Amino acid sequence: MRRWMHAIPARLKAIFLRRRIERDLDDELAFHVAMQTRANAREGMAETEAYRRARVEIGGVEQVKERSRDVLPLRWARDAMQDVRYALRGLRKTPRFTVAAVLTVVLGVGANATIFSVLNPLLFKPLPYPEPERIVNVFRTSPQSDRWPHSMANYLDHRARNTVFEQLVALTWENTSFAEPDQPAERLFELRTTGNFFALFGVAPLMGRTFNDADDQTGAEPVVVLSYGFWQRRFNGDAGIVGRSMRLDGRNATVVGVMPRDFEYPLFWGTIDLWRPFAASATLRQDRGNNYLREFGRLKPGVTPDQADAAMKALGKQVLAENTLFDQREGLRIEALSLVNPVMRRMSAYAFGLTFLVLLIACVNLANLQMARTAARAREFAIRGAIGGGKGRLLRQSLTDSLVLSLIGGSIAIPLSFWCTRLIAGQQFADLPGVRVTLEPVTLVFAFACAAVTGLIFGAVPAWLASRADINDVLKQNPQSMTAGRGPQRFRQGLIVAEIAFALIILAGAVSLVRGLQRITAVDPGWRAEGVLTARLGLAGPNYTQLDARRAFVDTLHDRVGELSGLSSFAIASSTVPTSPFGSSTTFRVEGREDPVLAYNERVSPQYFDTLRIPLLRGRTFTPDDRAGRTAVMVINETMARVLWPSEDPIGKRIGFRGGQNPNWREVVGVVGDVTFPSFGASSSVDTPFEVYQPLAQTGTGAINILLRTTREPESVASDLRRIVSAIDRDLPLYGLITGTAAEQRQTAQLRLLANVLGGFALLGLVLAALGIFGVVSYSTAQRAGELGMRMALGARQSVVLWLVLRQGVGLTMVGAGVGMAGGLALGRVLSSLMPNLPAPEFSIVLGAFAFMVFVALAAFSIPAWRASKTNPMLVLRHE
Amino acid sequence: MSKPPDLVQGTLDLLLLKILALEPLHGWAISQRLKQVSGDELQVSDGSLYPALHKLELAGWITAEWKTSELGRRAKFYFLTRAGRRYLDQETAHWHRLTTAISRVLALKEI
Repeated sequence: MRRWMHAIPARLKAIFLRRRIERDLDDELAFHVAMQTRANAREGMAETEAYRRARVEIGGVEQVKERSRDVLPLRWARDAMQDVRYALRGLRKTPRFTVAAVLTVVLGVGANATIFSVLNPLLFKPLPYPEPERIVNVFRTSPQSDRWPHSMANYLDHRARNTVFEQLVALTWENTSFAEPDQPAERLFELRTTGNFFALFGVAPLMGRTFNDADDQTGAEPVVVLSYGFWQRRFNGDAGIVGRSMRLDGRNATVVGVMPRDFEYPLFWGTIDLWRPFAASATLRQDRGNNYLREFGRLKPGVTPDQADAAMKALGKQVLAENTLFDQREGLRIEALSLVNPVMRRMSAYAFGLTFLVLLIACVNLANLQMARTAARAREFAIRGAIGGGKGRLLRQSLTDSLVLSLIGGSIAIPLSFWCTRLIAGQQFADLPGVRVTLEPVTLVFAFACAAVTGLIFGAVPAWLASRADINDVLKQNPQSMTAGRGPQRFRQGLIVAEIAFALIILAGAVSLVRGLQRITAVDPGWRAEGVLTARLGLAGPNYTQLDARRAFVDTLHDRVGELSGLSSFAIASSTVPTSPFGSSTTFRVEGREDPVLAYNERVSPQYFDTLRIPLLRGRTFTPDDRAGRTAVMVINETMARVLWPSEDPIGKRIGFRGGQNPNWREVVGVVGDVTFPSFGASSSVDTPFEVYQPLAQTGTGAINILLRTTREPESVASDLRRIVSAIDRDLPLYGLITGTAAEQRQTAQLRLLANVLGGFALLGLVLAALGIFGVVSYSTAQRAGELGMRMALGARQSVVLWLVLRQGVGLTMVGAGVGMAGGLALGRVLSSLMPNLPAPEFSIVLGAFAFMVFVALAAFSIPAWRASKTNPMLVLRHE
Repeated sequence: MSKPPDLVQGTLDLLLLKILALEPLHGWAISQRLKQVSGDELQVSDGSLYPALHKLELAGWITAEWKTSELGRRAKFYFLTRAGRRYLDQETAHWHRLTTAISRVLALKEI
């Protein structure tokens, strides 16, 4: 097309030679006016009249120029640049407004993005398996707890007879000794599962194959599947690993596959080095007494968790009815699979709800500030409208103002949230391997968009109204004394009230959630973690198949540890420190009672209770005399004693085991205090199950936990322990060294994080509300400077002026705080009705929040009021 | 200030191209010529003239050059480009077809 020969240079010129175009336009129109003036003069007009007429006839030189500019290409881009320049100039001229608005955007956007990013991996990221919503937990329930594990025989019944699961898997966490010839033994973390594990979780291996039901048959060739992390760490990602043999617990097993990196998901499973099928023996398959298996099911398509829950409850009843030796009050329960327990999840969801309130405050802030500013600029807008600024153009200027504000705020908020997210991730998730806490771009965009849209709406609407206003009305008004019309002012006051109310609701909600969390963590665990150090090892492999060998090992270990210096007491036990429920539970029978009793079953050495400072309430604890061959004894916890023998002395009663002809009666010799585990269960009352302790010397154990109370440095004790263990058997690795306090903190890490987040929110809400109030009040007070100065010039005292400004503030604060208090109480009631662990809405909390809010709000009002009262009246009057 | 209501959309472009097809002119001369040839029938304000000219220039139908005018003052003269001439022919033909069709419809007798 030939036309482009001319069109392209013309356009390029219009874009790049802007000045030249403007000059040409000026010259061209000047020429036209000159010619027309001459023509008019020739018709007999006077010189000046001829010139004036010429300019009128063309329809206003400036207007023609503006319309000609409209024709030019990239008009919008040039206008936008001009608007931005203009907006920046305007923002520089009103620094208080600018700082308040930018801070609002920074806090609102930055904090929300950060907090969401931190909560996101815990709450909203689905587990990395296909259709994770179909995967559920199956728990056993009893009157004491609703999270019991299962026995192998029960699991097999559930698997064979259920109608709701595509796959039902049982698994348990094991520790395996990996010892290659002539190399120090290594402790591996293993998930021992049924053959259908990989079928349920539905992820293909990275290399080789996964195992299946055939590998799970009794007597099948031992196979293992390695985790990506272990394969990389131990074998440097050796591509030829599949088919290799590994010596695990003294037996050879063949590596058949390696799983991809994402499959490990340590946040959920913990560290996993390998997966291994049970290949359970016939005896194990019939074992109904030992409960140590977690069950996971994948629902059949179309089956809801509720249907599955009902079906499994029915099946549980059937299985129990066939096995009358067991407590008939037991049941089964389905729980959705989630990274965090349901109460944490719900609480986090509320915390998340609070972030929206914070965002809402931020938006109200922006709206308020923008409206105050636009009202003050009504005159400017009217004038610009009068001299040819198109309405669209004025509107666009307002929008640009808002966008520039949002962009400045955003450009500070984004790096800030990156930094905060990394900081929190480093502090809170450093010891949780594999949690990738990253800034979520989606949130950032969302929060940012909220701020921008609010700014736009509340900036544009008043601007549009202002540009429509009759120019004469506006100009007649005194620019300084001009106050906004009654309507907008009411609206702004409403916004301030809303802001105070929201902040108070957040404050009250956050305080009651934090109190609830404190209540959970403040529950007396029943033992003292300070000064305790623990370490583990496992007795597995050919050397320890015999009970005698295991007992001999424990005796030697016990003697050698006892020789260490600086220990006030120490013990060996089958479970580690009780920060989480004990490892195993057993169904017991009580002499003289029909119904069986389910209890945690813990095997401990004599000083166990001293070491953990679990108080003895009746009778005695174990002594070295409670050996094999002596009277079989046991110690039970307070709750168990009280429930079983409410009015009798439990000492001397006998408790035995279900199944088999011989109950192997054991005599109760002592009652100790309850050990409680932080319970997040929906039913808050069942967090103290029955606990049975047996002397280690009379039972033996495969898993060995050394617990000691010492004043020495944990590190030096740890190296002593390592030396002792390797002196007894150099193939046994010691692992899991941790202080009691650290173990306890790890357990409550999520709760503490949540409490911190909530506290942060309350603070943020307050800061934002204060900022908003301060910004708006100081802005509108500055607008009234003329009026106030006039009053002072006429003799009003400083205190009167101060009160004049403050009075309005007090009224608004009281209304806002009143509304907020009602809202806070209502929220508290909702929260406590949904979460049993939360305290009922405490009036004192809300009242405290109210007082605090009033204080903050009044401070925000006083500063501008005080400044106004300090104005020199003469300055103001001269300014008029 | 605005386009006269009786001027069909786009016809101003056609008129301007036609005028420039006769000889290159500057803006004021074009406005005089418009008034001359169309009489009072077509009211084209000077305010609409310049944006229209600039639009045609950017479209490549006309081009402009600064030359000394009859009064010795520099003025911006507009020329029809070759592409502009073809466009004018095309649009003229189109205009004729359109007006003929409309006249024919309007000539229908009511029964």
